[in-house]
Parts: sequence; C-alpha cells; structure tokens
Amino acid sequence: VSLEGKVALVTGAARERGIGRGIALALAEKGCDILVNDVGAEDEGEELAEQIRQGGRGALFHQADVTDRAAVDEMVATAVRELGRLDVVCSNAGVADWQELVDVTQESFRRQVDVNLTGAFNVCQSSARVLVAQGEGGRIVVTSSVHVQMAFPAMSVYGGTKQGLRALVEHMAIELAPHRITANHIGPGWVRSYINDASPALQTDEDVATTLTLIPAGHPAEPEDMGNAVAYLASDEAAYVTGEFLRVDGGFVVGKY
Amino acid sequence: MDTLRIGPLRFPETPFLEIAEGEWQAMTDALEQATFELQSFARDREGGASVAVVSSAATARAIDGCALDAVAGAFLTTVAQVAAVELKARGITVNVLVPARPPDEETLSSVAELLASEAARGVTGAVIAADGGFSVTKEVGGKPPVTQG
Repeated sequence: VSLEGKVALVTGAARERGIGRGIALALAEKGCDILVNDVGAEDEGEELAEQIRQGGRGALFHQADVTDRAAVDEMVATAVRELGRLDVVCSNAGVADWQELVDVTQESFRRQVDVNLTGAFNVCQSSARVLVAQGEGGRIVVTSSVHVQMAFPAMSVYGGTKQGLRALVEHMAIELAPHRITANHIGPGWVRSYINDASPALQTDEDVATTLTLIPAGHPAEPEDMGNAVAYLASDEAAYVTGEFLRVDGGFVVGKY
Repeated sequence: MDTLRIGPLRFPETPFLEIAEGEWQAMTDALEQATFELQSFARDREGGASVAVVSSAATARAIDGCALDAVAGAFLTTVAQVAAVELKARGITVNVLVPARPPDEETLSSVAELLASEAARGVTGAVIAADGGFSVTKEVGGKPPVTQG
C-alpha cells in the first residue's frame, strides 16, 4: 500500500518499544508525514521525528495529554497548520494495570478510563470534526486489544476500556461513513512493548515460556507488525472497510474465545 | 440468594460528533459508580450471590446515535465477564443481560430472577439477550437488513 502525500497523527507514539512508534514508523515508511504525540518521553519523541525526517518525510513531535481536551484540540490544529492537512488518525495512547476487581483502586480505575477511553474519545472526536470540515474523507484507526474478544482475569478495567473502544468505533463508523471517513480498530495480542514489561504473565523466563505456548505463531509481535496492519486500514485500498476489528495476534485468541 | 442488579445505564442520544465533554464525563462517572458498586458487593460476600449487569442494545449491535449507551454497556460487559471469572470460586455468579431498546423492565427483572435461582448456579459470565427478540430484527432504530417479498 502507498500512503504517499497523506498526513497522520499518532498518539502515544514516542517511546522506544511502543506500539505507537511502530505505527508511526510504518506509516512514514509508506509515505505519510507524521505528527508524533506523547504525554512525555520528549527526547524519544524528538528523536523519532528526526528519524522520520531523515527518511525524507515531514514529522514533528507534539507533547500533549490526550485526557486534556483543549490540549487535544490544539494538537489536531497543529497537525493541520504544520503539516498542511490531516488524513489518518491513530488513537493509540493507552495504559494498563493489573488488579482483581475486588482490589481495583479508584486511582487505577480513573487512570485507565481517562487515558484509554476518554483520551481516545477526545482524539477521535476532535480529529473527526476536522476531517469532516476538510471534506476529503479520512481514516481513524484505534488501538484496542484482543481483550475485545477474550476476558483476562485481573484486567477488568483495562478490558472494559478496550471493549468500550470497540463500541465507540462501531458508532463512529456508522456516523462518519457518509463523510467517507472509516473507523476501525486493531487488536494486538502480546507485543514486545514496554507496556507488557509490567504484565504478571511475563515476569520470569518460565512465565514467558508458558505464555509463548499460547501463541500459535510461537513468538510475540513487534510494534511494526501493528504498524503494517494500521497502514492497510489507512490506505485507499481499505476505503470500504469500516467498523471492523483487525486482530494482529499471531493466532493467540483463536479457539480461546 | 443475595442479588445485585446494575444498569441499564441510559444516556442522551447524542450523535458522536456532537457529544459534549460533560456528557462523556457523566458517562464515565456512572461507570465508576457501577464498577465500585460491584466491587463493594463482591467484597462483602462469600458465596450464594448473583449479579446481573444490564448492558445496552447498542452494545451488542450499533444503533446510530447511541454511542454513549453502547460504550457504557460495552465497558460493563467486560467488567462483568472478568468479575465472573474472578468471583467464581466464591460462588458469586455474574451475568450480562442485553436489553431491548428501550429496555423492558419486566423482562429484565424476570431473567435476573431466573439467574439468581438454584437452577442457574452454573451460569456465569454469560451474555444473555433479555429483550423479547429485539436483537434478532432490531425493530427500533438502526437499519435492519429486511428481505422484501
């Protein structure tokens, strides 16, 4: 696929070994200019933007907290102002926590719901309004999870936020289709990413070996695997694909849900 | 049998592009309240309890303009299913009822009662249509693929 001449915004994209970085690099590789967003990791974000510019594409790092609506509106405006337009919106920023429901703290609940769910709503709605006004269609791709199809103990709130994103994407798809804007979501399984460093299922070599037995592909995904799936959904070829879930998990949940 | 019923949570039918920050915030506040109500119920009990969480018709299949209801119901569906797994050893069942649109209270209460009966002790983590068949044809809202003639 080619994304030549398109402009993409990717949230949660700065950090090394992150899905967002994998998405940003894959889209740039296919020809997109990129606004790299993250709430922190400024050095890594600047370095990534520079790496993309070295590859011949436009890029800038824009620090913003997706839970802050005014900051999100400003970020979307910055993409249009600095990169000329907006075509592809990747709502990827997310956090995870592991607690059984009886132990979930209000702080953990709020952080996951605010970043994963409200943050995505802010990014998608703010961007969609700009895409509609632009009048040339567009692509929204949300990073959800295999949690959409399979429940994982100790992750009720995280899983809930991802299931909420599934429903949000489906409603965006219906409402935005007349504007030639598609909305889809991707489902990472086990990705070799920093967010999984804290997973209780991946703490020791033994944990890793056990978890690997659950994955038919026999290895975890790299962030770039997520990026390649997003690149397809962002392409002209995927113009008729909307409200859809593209699982990218090496077969992890097949037969388990 | 101790029972807890959560939902259906109902929110304004606002198109996605027009949802106000305050409307969204009210929805997530309601999710917080519902989640901690379930937590509090589970903490206080050791066996012999049944929880019925009511989602939304728009959670199961999208209905134009019902994003807030759909997202809330989706969130609670996964929370309920994970809770079902975590609380199974304590004899607490947690199931999800998918209502019609608008929800029919009589059907919801009778199905919740059924799930709280001894005969349903083995039913947990299930998503059950309690909607008089609404989900099959989606008579209200949406654009059902009706074959004519």
